[in-house]
Amino acid sequence: MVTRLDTKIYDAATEVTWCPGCGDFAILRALKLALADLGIAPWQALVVSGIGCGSKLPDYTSINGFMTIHGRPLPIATGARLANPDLHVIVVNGDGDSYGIGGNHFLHACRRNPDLTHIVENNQIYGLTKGQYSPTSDKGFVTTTSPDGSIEAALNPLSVAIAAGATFVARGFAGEPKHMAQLIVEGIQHRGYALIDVLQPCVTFNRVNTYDWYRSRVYKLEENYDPADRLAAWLKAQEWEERIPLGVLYRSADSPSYEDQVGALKISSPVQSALRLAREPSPGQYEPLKAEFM
Amino acid sequence: MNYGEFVGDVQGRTRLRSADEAEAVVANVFRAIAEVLPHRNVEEMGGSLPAELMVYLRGAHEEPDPYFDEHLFLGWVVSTIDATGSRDKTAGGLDLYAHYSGDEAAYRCESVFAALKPLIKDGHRQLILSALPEGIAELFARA
Repeated sequence: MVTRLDTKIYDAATEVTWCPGCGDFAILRALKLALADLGIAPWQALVVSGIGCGSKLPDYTSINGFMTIHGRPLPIATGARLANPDLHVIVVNGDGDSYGIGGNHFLHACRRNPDLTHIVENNQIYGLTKGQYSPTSDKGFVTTTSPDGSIEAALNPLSVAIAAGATFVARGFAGEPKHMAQLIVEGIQHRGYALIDVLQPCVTFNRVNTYDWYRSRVYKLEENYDPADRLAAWLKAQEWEERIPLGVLYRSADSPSYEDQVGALKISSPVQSALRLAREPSPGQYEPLKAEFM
Repeated sequence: MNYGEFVGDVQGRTRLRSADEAEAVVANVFRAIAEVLPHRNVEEMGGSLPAELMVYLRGAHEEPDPYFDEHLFLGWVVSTIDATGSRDKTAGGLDLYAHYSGDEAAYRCESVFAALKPLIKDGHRQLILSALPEGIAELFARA
């Protein structure tokens, strides 16, 4: 992958505290590759995360970062986009933060279609708290909180996203960073909410869904697959146990983004207005405001 | 050397308690090698290696992912280190198990490489060495 920028510009001096072999390393690398490929400088992007192992990611880059409270990165990222639509806003969080604690926000991001790229580090377990079953854990999965095996059916995030109106739905695998980077590029280029669910082994606490487990099941979508076909995407999203498709399952290019439909943004954004005031201070510009309150 | 002897050799080097554990390490290291070794280079080694090991290597891709790095390679091996059901080893925010699992995984990789190197020709050693990610290649060279 020949990139426009050197990925080193996204490096940070912070010590990475992920477990050795964690799939999050590949996601971090793929994100840097994607931004470098698109020529997006660190100050032109914002990475918003929640709580969890994967949510430590903003700390490990020089990109603007915002680590929010548990499950809340999507509304905060939406707010950041509304304040400054010139910013490339990327949400990175785990399956628990996205689909469990932040499940409500996930649904509404899908239907609102804000121009966000949402990368979900889906390791099918709560890793930071040392191994409890998560919304995407398969039924029967044994953990400290499900010693007899999880009795709940796993959430299928891609099906939920398609049903809720998401306009870009993709799946990557941490074991294939180049393919994942390409998905992130397409997600950033998509105008609207882009979900990229990344299968990411937790090598310490999930001994079922390992690199080997995923490798033996994943396959890339066929060349003749049409991601504009919503029904076909729905059917693809049902595949899981024996074969798991990777790639862009669904993409709708026609839907306007949330920001496109906010009337006030057609005039100016809050950040642009604030910058204009800061750059061109003059007593006269406050007269209309004073008149309003006098 | 047959497959059983190879696993036994790895078990001796890694000091693992059972042949099953050693076999899991062998399988994961070879599957990780298959992630980086181009498929066209695999069959050449067929005459030197037990058929069971060739099964793992035949999973190699036509074009390996160029960004498959040291972390990903170790990931295949870290998952052979058993933690399920063990007590919580958290100490002051530091998970000692996770902290040392990288060292243990590197040691296991090196042990498999040490068992593998005498079995293959120098040219094949060079093929594997050139395909491995940077930090893992150092382990291979040192083994």
